[in-house]
Amino acid sequence: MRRTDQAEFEAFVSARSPALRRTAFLVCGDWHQAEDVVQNALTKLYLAWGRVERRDGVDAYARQIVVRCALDERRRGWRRERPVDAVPDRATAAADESGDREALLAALAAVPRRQRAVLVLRYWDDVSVAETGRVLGISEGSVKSAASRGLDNLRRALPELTFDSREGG
Amino acid sequence: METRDLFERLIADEPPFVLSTSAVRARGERAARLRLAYRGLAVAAVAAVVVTGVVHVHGPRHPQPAAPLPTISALPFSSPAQIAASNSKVYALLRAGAAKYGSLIKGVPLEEQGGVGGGPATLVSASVQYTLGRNSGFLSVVTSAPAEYASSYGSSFTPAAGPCAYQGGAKLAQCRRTLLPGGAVLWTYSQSAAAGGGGPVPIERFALLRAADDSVLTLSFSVQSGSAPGASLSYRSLSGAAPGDIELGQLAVAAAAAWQNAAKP
Repeated sequence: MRRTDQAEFEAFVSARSPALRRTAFLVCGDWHQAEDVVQNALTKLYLAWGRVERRDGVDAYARQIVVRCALDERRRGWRRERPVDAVPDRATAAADESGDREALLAALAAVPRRQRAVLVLRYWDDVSVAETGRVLGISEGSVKSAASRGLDNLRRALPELTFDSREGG
Repeated sequence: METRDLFERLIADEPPFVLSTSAVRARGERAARLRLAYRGLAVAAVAAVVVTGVVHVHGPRHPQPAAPLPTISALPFSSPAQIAASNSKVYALLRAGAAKYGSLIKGVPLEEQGGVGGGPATLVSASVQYTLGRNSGFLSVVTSAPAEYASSYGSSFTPAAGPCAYQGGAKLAQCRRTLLPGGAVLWTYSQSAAAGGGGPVPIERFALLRAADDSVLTLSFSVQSGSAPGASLSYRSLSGAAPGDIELGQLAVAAAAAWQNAAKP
């Protein structure tokens, strides 16, 4: 890779990796996994940088790799595990909030991963139906039905919350 | 409440993210070098196919196991006992497979993961780590039920297209497809990858077998650099210590057959 390409790649990594990690987290539900996913995705992006750079949408390409890596991550198994020396303490005041998030996370985990990926792309990354289909390799019709079913699953998992009825396509 | 609000609440406790851009670049460079090294191994594997006169059944040239191929119609997930029995046969094959290349460092006979929506297990895995020069080689098998497959890959993963099309954007290297008796399909392909935690995993090679009932067995090989400070991957050490397309394909077929046979009453 040329020096200018490397500088551009590093600038991209600095600017976009936090957002990519958030997307990965919402798809796979674990910050450590999300970090691994982003590192994997950035390595792939590095290898493809010469090709990708010449066309628009490096960001879209990176997001595509991240989402697909996140969908694949579950299939990688034990060697991705990362032991910790000690379980971090949690502030008591934050316990309720943390419990809420655990419940929300569990609800999101109840949504099949592909539907979850569609929800994340559509409602978190604000990606169009067509682009979501391209990222996941499915038709626009499949994106719409996956979004609709994903929202249904979320509503079932979180009956106390009402989701905006305008969403779903 | 909109879905976006839910997502914002979920990421509210985002931990700090310290990512070294130069480390990412270094990992990418290493992946690029190792990809070249592995490409050499793959060429050697294809040469071995030519020498041994083994032919392929369908699609681009692909090494085919020389022994008569079993019919893989389904990888059952009928009960916890059956899953454990099938998986233990697969794990035994994995250990024997790894023993051809190096000494066993660690084995994980069974990792079980709940199904879609928290239901019964629809995905189990077994892994072994073995010495590979100054590094480690990993062989992992992940077996998944049709429901798992549908959730992971959806409609984009057809017997015709498979992972070669599914990963279209992040192009897979040397993706090849072989039709097996009874409607099963075997793909082999490689991906460059890198993991955090235990160190970089610069390359992964896969054999993915999809049975006729849409259950899937994925066998992967990867290299992890040594844990000693400053240890780096020795490309030469890969030669002869890493399974190529032929070996991975054979092992995947044998593992799928073992899973299936152990499920028979």
